[in-house]
Amino acid sequence: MRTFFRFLIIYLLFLLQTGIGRYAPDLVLLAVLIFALSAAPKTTLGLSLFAGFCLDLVNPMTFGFNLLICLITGFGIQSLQKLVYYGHRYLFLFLLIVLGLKYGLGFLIFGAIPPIPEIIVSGLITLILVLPFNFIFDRLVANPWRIG
Amino acid sequence: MKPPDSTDLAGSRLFFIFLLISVVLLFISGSIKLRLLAYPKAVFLAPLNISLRFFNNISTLRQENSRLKGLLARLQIENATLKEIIQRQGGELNLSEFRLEKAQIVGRDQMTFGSYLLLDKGAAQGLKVNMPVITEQGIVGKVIQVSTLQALVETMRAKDSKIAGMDQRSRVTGVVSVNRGNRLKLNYVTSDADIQIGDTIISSGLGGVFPKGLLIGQVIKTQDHSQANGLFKEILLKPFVDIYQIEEVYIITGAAVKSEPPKPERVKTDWEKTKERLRIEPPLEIKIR
Repeated sequence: MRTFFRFLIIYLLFLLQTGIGRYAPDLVLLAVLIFALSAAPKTTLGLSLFAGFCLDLVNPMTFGFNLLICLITGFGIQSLQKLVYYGHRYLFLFLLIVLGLKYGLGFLIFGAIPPIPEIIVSGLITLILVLPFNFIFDRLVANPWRIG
Repeated sequence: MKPPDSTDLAGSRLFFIFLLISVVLLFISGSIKLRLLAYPKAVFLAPLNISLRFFNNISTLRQENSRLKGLLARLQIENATLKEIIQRQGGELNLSEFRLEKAQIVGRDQMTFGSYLLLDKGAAQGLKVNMPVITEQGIVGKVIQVSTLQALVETMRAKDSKIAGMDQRSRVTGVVSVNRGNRLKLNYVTSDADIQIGDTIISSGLGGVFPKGLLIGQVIKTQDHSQANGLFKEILLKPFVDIYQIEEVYIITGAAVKSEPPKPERVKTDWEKTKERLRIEPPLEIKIR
Protein backbone atom coordinates (compact mmCIF):
# COMPACT_ATOMS: atom_id res chain seq x y z
CA MET A 1 0.00 0.00 0.00
CA ARG A 2 2.85 2.34 0.87
CA THR A 3 4.46 1.63 -2.49
CA PHE A 4 1.22 2.33 -4.27
CA PHE A 5 0.99 5.66 -2.45
CA ARG A 6 4.50 6.51 -3.53
CA PHE A 7 3.61 5.87 -7.19
CA LEU A 8 0.43 7.84 -6.82
CA ILE A 9 2.28 10.77 -5.26
CA ILE A 10 4.83 10.74 -8.06
CA TYR A 11 2.09 10.71 -10.66
CA LEU A 12 0.22 13.57 -8.98
CA LEU A 13 3.39 15.58 -8.66
CA PHE A 14 4.13 14.92 -12.32
CA LEU A 15 0.70 16.31 -13.26
CA LEU A 16 1.28 19.32 -11.05
CA GLN A 17 4.75 19.97 -12.43
CA THR A 18 3.54 19.65 -16.01
CA GLY A 19 0.54 21.87 -15.29
CA ILE A 20 2.72 24.64 -13.88
CA GLY A 21 4.89 24.58 -16.99
CA ARG A 22 7.67 27.17 -17.10
CA TYR A 23 9.50 27.83 -13.80
CA ALA A 24 8.01 24.64 -12.40
CA PRO A 25 10.11 23.12 -9.60
CA ASP A 26 11.46 19.60 -10.07
CA LEU A 27 8.82 18.05 -7.87
CA VAL A 28 9.09 14.57 -9.33
CA LEU A 29 12.85 14.46 -8.99
CA LEU A 30 12.53 15.70 -5.43
CA ALA A 31 10.04 12.96 -4.64
CA VAL A 32 12.32 10.32 -6.15
CA LEU A 33 15.16 11.64 -4.06
CA ILE A 34 13.18 11.58 -0.82
CA PHE A 35 11.62 8.19 -1.50
CA ALA A 36 15.00 6.71 -2.46
CA LEU A 37 16.27 7.50 1.02
CA SER A 38 13.64 5.37 2.67
CA ALA A 39 12.34 2.84 0.15
CA ALA A 40 13.73 -0.56 -0.67
CA PRO A 41 16.06 -0.83 -3.71
CA LYS A 42 13.51 -2.49 -5.97
CA THR A 43 10.84 -0.02 -5.04
CA THR A 44 13.26 2.80 -5.71
CA LEU A 45 14.03 1.31 -9.08
CA GLY A 46 10.35 1.12 -9.95
CA LEU A 47 9.72 4.65 -8.73
CA SER A 48 12.68 5.99 -10.69
CA LEU A 49 11.55 4.26 -13.87
CA PHE A 50 8.00 5.48 -13.45
CA ALA A 51 9.06 9.04 -12.66
CA GLY A 52 11.51 9.17 -15.55
CA PHE A 53 8.98 7.72 -17.95
CA CYS A 54 6.33 10.23 -16.91
CA LEU A 55 8.69 13.18 -17.29
CA ASP A 56 9.89 11.98 -20.67
CA LEU A 57 6.35 11.72 -21.95
CA VAL A 58 6.05 15.49 -21.86
CA ASN A 59 8.90 15.88 -24.29
CA PRO A 60 9.16 12.73 -26.39
CA MET A 61 12.04 14.08 -28.47
CA THR A 62 14.39 13.76 -25.47
CA PHE A 63 12.85 10.49 -24.36
CA GLY A 64 15.31 8.63 -22.15
CA PHE A 65 16.95 11.65 -20.61
CA ASN A 66 14.70 12.02 -17.56
CA LEU A 67 14.68 8.25 -17.22
CA LEU A 68 18.45 8.37 -17.03
CA ILE A 69 18.47 11.19 -14.48
CA CYS A 70 15.86 9.54 -12.26
CA LEU A 71 17.66 6.21 -12.39
CA ILE A 72 20.97 7.81 -11.51
CA THR A 73 19.28 9.71 -8.66
CA GLY A 74 17.57 6.63 -7.32
CA PHE A 75 20.59 4.42 -7.65
CA GLY A 76 22.94 7.05 -6.29
CA ILE A 77 20.86 7.76 -3.21
CA GLN A 78 20.36 4.08 -2.60
CA SER A 79 24.11 3.58 -2.74
CA LEU A 80 24.66 6.51 -0.41
CA GLN A 81 22.53 4.81 2.17
CA LYS A 82 25.54 2.61 2.76
CA LEU A 83 27.58 5.61 3.78
CA VAL A 84 24.98 7.83 5.38
CA TYR A 85 22.27 6.01 7.24
CA TYR A 86 20.10 8.97 7.97
CA GLY A 87 20.43 10.73 4.64
CA HIS A 88 17.61 13.15 5.19
CA ARG A 89 20.03 15.48 6.90
CA TYR A 90 21.85 15.90 3.61
CA LEU A 91 18.80 16.41 1.44
CA PHE A 92 19.83 19.90 0.33
CA LEU A 93 23.24 18.67 -0.69
CA PHE A 94 21.81 15.67 -2.53
CA LEU A 95 19.31 17.82 -4.32
CA LEU A 96 21.95 20.29 -5.43
CA ILE A 97 24.05 17.44 -6.74
CA VAL A 98 21.09 15.93 -8.59
CA LEU A 99 20.10 19.28 -10.14
CA GLY A 100 23.66 19.93 -11.15
CA LEU A 101 23.83 16.48 -12.70
CA LYS A 102 20.59 17.06 -14.57
CA TYR A 103 21.63 20.33 -16.17
CA GLY A 104 25.20 19.17 -16.67
CA LEU A 105 24.14 15.99 -18.46
CA GLY A 106 21.59 17.94 -20.43
CA PHE A 107 24.30 20.26 -21.63
CA LEU A 108 26.62 17.38 -22.45
CA ILE A 109 24.03 15.37 -24.37
CA PHE A 110 21.99 18.08 -26.09
CA GLY A 111 24.50 20.90 -26.03
CA ALA A 112 21.98 23.26 -24.47
CA ILE A 113 20.43 24.11 -21.14
CA PRO A 114 17.26 25.98 -20.27
CA PRO A 115 17.50 29.77 -19.76
CA ILE A 116 19.43 30.69 -16.60
CA PRO A 117 16.49 32.54 -14.92
CA GLU A 118 14.33 29.45 -15.33
CA ILE A 119 17.01 27.24 -13.83
CA ILE A 120 17.52 29.59 -10.89
CA VAL A 121 13.81 30.08 -10.12
CA SER A 122 12.97 26.42 -10.57
CA GLY A 123 15.98 25.30 -8.54
CA LEU A 124 15.28 27.74 -5.72
CA ILE A 125 11.65 26.69 -5.44
CA THR A 126 12.71 23.05 -5.42
CA LEU A 127 15.21 23.73 -2.64
CA ILE A 128 12.57 25.60 -0.63
CA LEU A 129 10.21 22.66 -0.99
CA VAL A 130 12.68 20.06 0.24
CA LEU A 131 11.85 20.24 3.93
CA PRO A 132 8.06 20.54 3.61
CA PHE A 133 7.97 17.67 1.14
CA ASN A 134 10.19 15.55 3.35
CA PHE A 135 7.93 16.25 6.29
CA ILE A 136 4.74 15.46 4.36
CA PHE A 137 6.10 12.30 2.73
CA ASP A 138 7.35 11.12 6.09
CA ARG A 139 3.85 11.37 7.45
CA LEU A 140 2.20 9.84 4.39
CA VAL A 141 4.47 6.92 3.63
CA ALA A 142 6.75 6.68 6.64
CA ASN A 143 8.55 3.45 7.21
CA PRO A 144 7.97 2.03 10.68
CA TRP A 145 11.68 1.29 11.10
CA ARG A 146 12.62 4.93 10.62
CA ILE A 147 13.95 6.40 13.84
CA GLY A 148 14.25 10.04 14.88
CA MET B 1 11.66 -3.81 13.30
CA LYS B 2 14.92 -4.15 11.49
CA PRO B 3 15.76 -1.50 8.91
CA PRO B 4 16.30 -2.72 5.36
CA ASP B 5 19.85 -3.59 4.62
CA SER B 6 21.15 -0.71 2.56
CA THR B 7 24.11 -2.71 1.41
CA ASP B 8 21.79 -5.05 -0.38
CA LEU B 9 22.51 -4.24 -3.96
CA ALA B 10 20.53 -7.02 -5.52
CA GLY B 11 18.77 -4.49 -7.60
CA SER B 12 22.01 -2.92 -8.79
CA ARG B 13 22.12 -5.03 -11.89
CA LEU B 14 18.64 -4.00 -12.78
CA PHE B 15 19.61 -0.38 -12.26
CA PHE B 16 22.48 -0.73 -14.66
CA ILE B 17 20.34 -2.51 -17.24
CA PHE B 18 17.77 0.25 -17.15
CA LEU B 19 20.47 2.86 -17.25
CA LEU B 20 21.74 1.31 -20.44
CA ILE B 21 18.24 1.14 -21.87
CA SER B 22 17.66 4.79 -21.11
CA VAL B 23 20.94 5.72 -22.81
CA VAL B 24 19.93 3.73 -25.85
CA LEU B 25 16.52 5.37 -25.84
CA LEU B 26 18.21 8.75 -25.95
CA PHE B 27 19.66 8.00 -29.34
CA ILE B 28 16.58 6.57 -31.02
CA SER B 29 15.17 8.62 -33.86
CA GLY B 30 12.75 11.34 -32.79
CA SER B 31 10.00 10.29 -35.23
CA ILE B 32 9.96 6.76 -33.79
CA LYS B 33 9.73 8.13 -30.26
CA LEU B 34 6.87 10.39 -31.28
CA ARG B 35 4.98 7.51 -32.84
CA LEU B 36 5.57 5.17 -29.91
CA LEU B 37 4.77 7.66 -27.20
CA ALA B 38 1.69 9.29 -28.69
CA TYR B 39 -0.76 6.94 -27.00
CA PRO B 40 0.93 6.68 -23.56
CA LYS B 41 1.29 10.44 -23.52
CA ALA B 42 -2.42 10.91 -24.14
CA VAL B 43 -3.28 8.44 -21.38
CA PHE B 44 -0.86 9.77 -18.78
CA LEU B 45 -1.68 13.39 -19.42
CA ALA B 46 -5.43 12.88 -19.71
CA PRO B 47 -6.23 14.13 -16.16
CA LEU B 48 -4.12 17.20 -16.75
CA ASN B 49 -5.77 17.88 -20.10
CA ILE B 50 -9.21 17.46 -18.60
CA SER B 51 -8.48 19.79 -15.69
CA LEU B 52 -6.81 22.36 -17.95
CA ARG B 53 -9.79 22.24 -20.29
CA PHE B 54 -12.07 22.73 -17.30
CA PHE B 55 -10.17 25.81 -16.10
CA ASN B 56 -9.94 27.13 -19.64
CA ASN B 57 -13.68 26.76 -19.95
CA ILE B 58 -14.20 28.71 -16.74
CA SER B 59 -11.88 31.41 -17.98
CA THR B 60 -13.65 31.52 -21.35
CA LEU B 61 -17.03 31.65 -19.64
CA ARG B 62 -15.89 34.51 -17.43
CA GLN B 63 -14.67 36.44 -20.44
CA GLU B 64 -17.88 35.69 -22.29
CA ASN B 65 -19.91 36.71 -19.25
CA SER B 66 -18.02 39.97 -18.95
CA ARG B 67 -18.46 40.67 -22.67
CA LEU B 68 -22.17 39.90 -22.54
CA LYS B 69 -22.65 42.10 -19.49
CA GLY B 70 -21.05 44.97 -21.39
CA LEU B 71 -23.23 44.22 -24.38
CA LEU B 72 -26.33 44.09 -22.20
CA ALA B 73 -25.53 47.45 -20.64
CA ARG B 74 -24.95 48.95 -24.08
CA LEU B 75 -28.19 47.50 -25.44
CA GLN B 76 -30.13 48.71 -22.41
CA ILE B 77 -28.86 52.22 -23.00
CA GLU B 78 -29.63 51.91 -26.70
CA ASN B 79 -33.09 50.55 -25.91
CA ALA B 80 -33.82 53.39 -23.51
CA THR B 81 -32.61 55.94 -26.05
CA LEU B 82 -34.74 54.44 -28.81
CA LYS B 83 -37.79 54.34 -26.54
CA GLU B 84 -37.29 57.99 -25.77
CA ILE B 85 -36.97 58.83 -29.45
CA ILE B 86 -40.13 56.87 -30.26
CA GLN B 87 -42.00 58.58 -27.47
CA ARG B 88 -40.97 61.97 -28.75
CA GLN B 89 -41.44 61.36 -32.44
CA GLY B 90 -44.41 59.09 -32.74
CA GLY B 91 -45.90 59.60 -29.33
CA GLU B 92 -48.00 62.20 -27.73
CA LEU B 93 -46.70 65.37 -29.16
CA ASN B 94 -45.32 66.67 -32.39
CA LEU B 95 -43.35 69.81 -31.69
CA SER B 96 -43.51 70.83 -35.32
CA GLU B 97 -47.10 71.83 -34.60
CA PHE B 98 -45.80 74.72 -32.52
CA ARG B 99 -43.88 77.88 -33.12
CA LEU B 100 -40.72 77.67 -31.02
CA GLU B 101 -38.52 80.54 -29.99
CA LYS B 102 -35.01 79.57 -29.07
CA ALA B 103 -33.48 81.44 -26.12
CA GLN B 104 -30.24 81.38 -24.19
CA ILE B 105 -30.18 81.23 -20.42
CA VAL B 106 -28.41 84.36 -19.22
CA GLY B 107 -29.11 84.11 -15.51
CA ARG B 108 -29.89 81.58 -12.83
CA ASP B 109 -31.19 82.27 -9.41
CA GLN B 110 -28.70 80.45 -7.23
CA MET B 111 -30.46 81.32 -4.00
CA THR B 112 -33.49 79.29 -4.91
CA PHE B 113 -31.50 76.38 -6.34
CA GLY B 114 -32.46 76.83 -9.94
CA SER B 115 -36.09 77.71 -9.41
CA TYR B 116 -35.91 80.65 -11.80
CA LEU B 117 -34.07 81.28 -15.06
CA LEU B 118 -33.50 84.47 -16.98
CA LEU B 119 -33.70 84.27 -20.77
CA ASP B 120 -32.25 86.58 -23.38
CA LYS B 121 -35.55 86.87 -25.26
CA GLY B 122 -38.52 88.99 -24.26
CA ALA B 123 -41.66 90.67 -25.46
CA ALA B 124 -39.83 91.95 -28.53
CA GLN B 125 -39.53 88.37 -29.72
CA GLY B 126 -43.15 87.61 -28.98
CA LEU B 127 -42.77 86.09 -25.54
CA LYS B 128 -45.71 86.38 -23.18
CA VAL B 129 -46.49 85.31 -19.64
CA ASN B 130 -47.46 81.64 -19.16
CA MET B 131 -45.74 80.45 -22.29
CA PRO B 132 -44.25 76.95 -21.80
CA VAL B 133 -40.50 76.63 -21.80
CA ILE B 134 -39.02 73.32 -22.91
CA THR B 135 -35.86 71.58 -24.07
CA GLU B 136 -35.31 68.48 -26.16
CA GLN B 137 -35.58 66.44 -22.95
CA GLY B 138 -38.89 67.85 -21.74
CA ILE B 139 -40.52 70.61 -19.74
CA VAL B 140 -38.38 73.27 -18.06
CA GLY B 141 -41.10 75.59 -16.76
CA LYS B 142 -43.13 78.56 -17.86
CA VAL B 143 -42.58 82.25 -18.44
CA ILE B 144 -43.80 84.32 -15.49
CA GLN B 145 -42.45 87.78 -16.28
CA VAL B 146 -41.57 89.44 -19.54
CA SER B 147 -39.67 92.61 -20.29
CA THR B 148 -38.81 93.89 -23.74
CA LEU B 149 -35.64 91.87 -24.14
CA GLN B 150 -35.70 89.42 -21.25
CA ALA B 151 -38.01 86.88 -19.71
CA LEU B 152 -38.13 85.22 -16.31
CA VAL B 153 -38.93 81.52 -16.24
CA GLU B 154 -40.32 79.67 -13.29
CA THR B 155 -38.90 76.16 -13.52
CA MET B 156 -40.49 72.93 -12.32
CA ARG B 157 -38.26 73.16 -9.26
CA ALA B 158 -39.96 76.34 -8.04
CA LYS B 159 -42.14 75.99 -4.96
CA ASP B 160 -45.18 77.44 -6.67
CA SER B 161 -44.83 75.42 -9.84
CA LYS B 162 -47.73 73.08 -10.53
CA ILE B 163 -48.04 71.12 -13.75
CA ALA B 164 -50.93 68.87 -14.68
CA GLY B 165 -49.29 65.53 -15.33
CA MET B 166 -50.34 62.13 -16.59
CA ASP B 167 -48.90 58.63 -16.65
CA GLN B 168 -48.12 57.88 -20.27
CA ARG B 169 -48.92 54.19 -19.85
CA SER B 170 -51.94 54.09 -17.60
CA ARG B 171 -53.25 57.65 -18.30
CA VAL B 172 -53.64 58.31 -14.57
CA THR B 173 -53.56 62.04 -13.97
CA GLY B 174 -52.18 64.15 -11.15
CA VAL B 175 -50.39 67.39 -10.37
CA VAL B 176 -46.62 67.58 -10.52
CA SER B 177 -44.86 69.76 -7.99
CA VAL B 178 -41.41 70.02 -6.52
CA ASN B 179 -40.19 67.69 -3.81
CA ARG B 180 -37.05 67.83 -1.71
CA GLY B 181 -33.77 67.51 -3.59
CA ASN B 182 -33.70 67.25 -7.33
CA ARG B 183 -36.97 65.38 -7.41
CA LEU B 184 -40.59 66.01 -8.30
CA LYS B 185 -43.72 64.42 -6.99
CA LEU B 186 -47.00 63.54 -8.58
CA ASN B 187 -49.79 64.56 -6.25
CA TYR B 188 -53.45 63.70 -5.98
CA VAL B 189 -53.11 60.19 -7.35
CA THR B 190 -55.47 57.81 -5.64
CA SER B 191 -53.91 54.93 -3.73
CA ASP B 192 -55.33 52.30 -6.08
CA ALA B 193 -54.10 54.03 -9.25
CA ASP B 194 -51.92 52.05 -11.62
CA ILE B 195 -48.54 53.74 -11.40
CA GLN B 196 -45.36 51.72 -11.64
CA ILE B 197 -41.70 52.52 -11.20
CA GLY B 198 -40.21 53.42 -14.55
CA ASP B 199 -43.41 54.94 -15.94
CA THR B 200 -43.06 58.16 -17.87
CA ILE B 201 -45.06 61.15 -16.73
CA ILE B 202 -46.09 63.63 -19.37
CA SER B 203 -48.10 66.82 -19.30
CA SER B 204 -51.81 66.15 -19.49
CA GLY B 205 -52.74 69.48 -21.03
CA LEU B 206 -55.37 70.09 -18.34
CA GLY B 207 -53.81 73.20 -16.87
CA GLY B 208 -54.08 75.13 -20.07
CA VAL B 209 -50.45 76.22 -19.97
CA PHE B 210 -48.56 73.18 -21.21
CA PRO B 211 -49.74 71.29 -24.26
CA LYS B 212 -50.50 67.62 -23.77
CA GLY B 213 -47.63 65.17 -24.20
CA LEU B 214 -44.56 67.08 -23.04
CA LEU B 215 -42.15 64.91 -21.05
CA ILE B 216 -41.89 65.69 -17.34
CA GLY B 217 -40.13 62.84 -15.56
CA GLN B 218 -39.88 59.20 -14.73
CA VAL B 219 -41.38 57.47 -11.71
CA ILE B 220 -38.64 56.31 -9.36
CA LYS B 221 -40.60 55.53 -6.22
CA THR B 222 -44.19 54.80 -5.32
CA GLN B 223 -45.47 54.32 -1.82
CA ASP B 224 -47.11 50.97 -1.15
CA HIS B 225 -50.86 50.85 -0.66
CA SER B 226 -50.41 49.39 2.79
CA GLN B 227 -48.15 52.23 3.85
CA ALA B 228 -50.19 54.98 2.27
CA ASN B 229 -51.98 57.18 4.69
CA GLY B 230 -55.28 58.36 3.42
CA LEU B 231 -56.54 58.51 -0.09
CA PHE B 232 -53.52 59.40 -2.12
CA LYS B 233 -50.37 57.70 -3.19
CA GLU B 234 -47.00 59.36 -2.94
CA ILE B 235 -45.11 59.19 -6.21
CA LEU B 236 -41.62 60.51 -6.70
CA LEU B 237 -40.31 61.48 -10.12
CA LYS B 238 -36.90 62.10 -11.54
CA PRO B 239 -37.22 65.00 -13.98
CA PHE B 240 -35.94 64.42 -17.49
CA VAL B 241 -34.51 67.92 -17.62
CA ASP B 242 -31.60 68.77 -15.37
CA ILE B 243 -32.00 72.49 -14.77
CA TYR B 244 -28.32 72.91 -13.95
CA GLN B 245 -27.17 71.33 -17.20
CA ILE B 246 -29.23 73.22 -19.75
CA GLU B 247 -27.88 76.28 -21.56
CA GLU B 248 -30.61 77.02 -24.04
CA VAL B 249 -34.34 76.45 -24.10
CA TYR B 250 -37.31 76.75 -26.45
CA ILE B 251 -40.39 78.76 -25.71
CA ILE B 252 -43.62 77.62 -27.27
CA THR B 253 -44.98 80.90 -28.55
CA GLY B 254 -48.05 79.50 -30.24
CA ALA B 255 -49.34 77.18 -32.89
CA ALA B 256 -47.41 77.01 -36.11
CA VAL B 257 -48.81 79.05 -38.97
CA LYS B 258 -49.74 76.62 -41.65
CA SER B 259 -48.86 78.18 -44.96
CA GLU B 260 -51.36 77.29 -47.65
CA PRO B 261 -50.00 75.90 -50.87
CA PRO B 262 -50.06 78.40 -53.77
CA LYS B 263 -53.14 78.10 -55.96
CA PRO B 264 -52.45 77.10 -59.52
CA GLU B 265 -53.03 79.88 -62.00
CA ARG B 266 -56.20 79.61 -64.02
CA VAL B 267 -55.56 78.81 -67.63
CA LYS B 268 -56.68 81.71 -69.78
CA THR B 269 -58.99 81.08 -72.63
CA ASP B 270 -58.09 81.97 -76.22
CA TRP B 271 -60.50 84.84 -76.23
CA GLU B 272 -58.93 86.36 -73.10
CA LYS B 273 -55.47 86.02 -74.56
CA THR B 274 -56.52 87.69 -77.82
CA LYS B 275 -58.28 90.43 -75.88
CA GLU B 276 -55.19 91.15 -73.86
CA ARG B 277 -53.04 91.26 -76.95
CA LEU B 278 -55.28 93.50 -79.02
CA ARG B 279 -56.77 95.39 -76.10
CA ILE B 280 -60.20 94.99 -77.61
CA GLU B 281 -62.96 96.51 -75.66
CA PRO B 282 -66.00 94.42 -75.21
CA PRO B 283 -68.74 95.27 -77.64
CA LEU B 284 -70.91 98.15 -76.48
CA GLU B 285 -74.37 97.36 -75.52
CA ILE B 286 -76.83 99.16 -77.69
CA LYS B 287 -79.61 100.33 -75.69
CA ILE B 288 -82.79 100.59 -77.64
CA ARG B 289 -85.22 102.88 -76.29
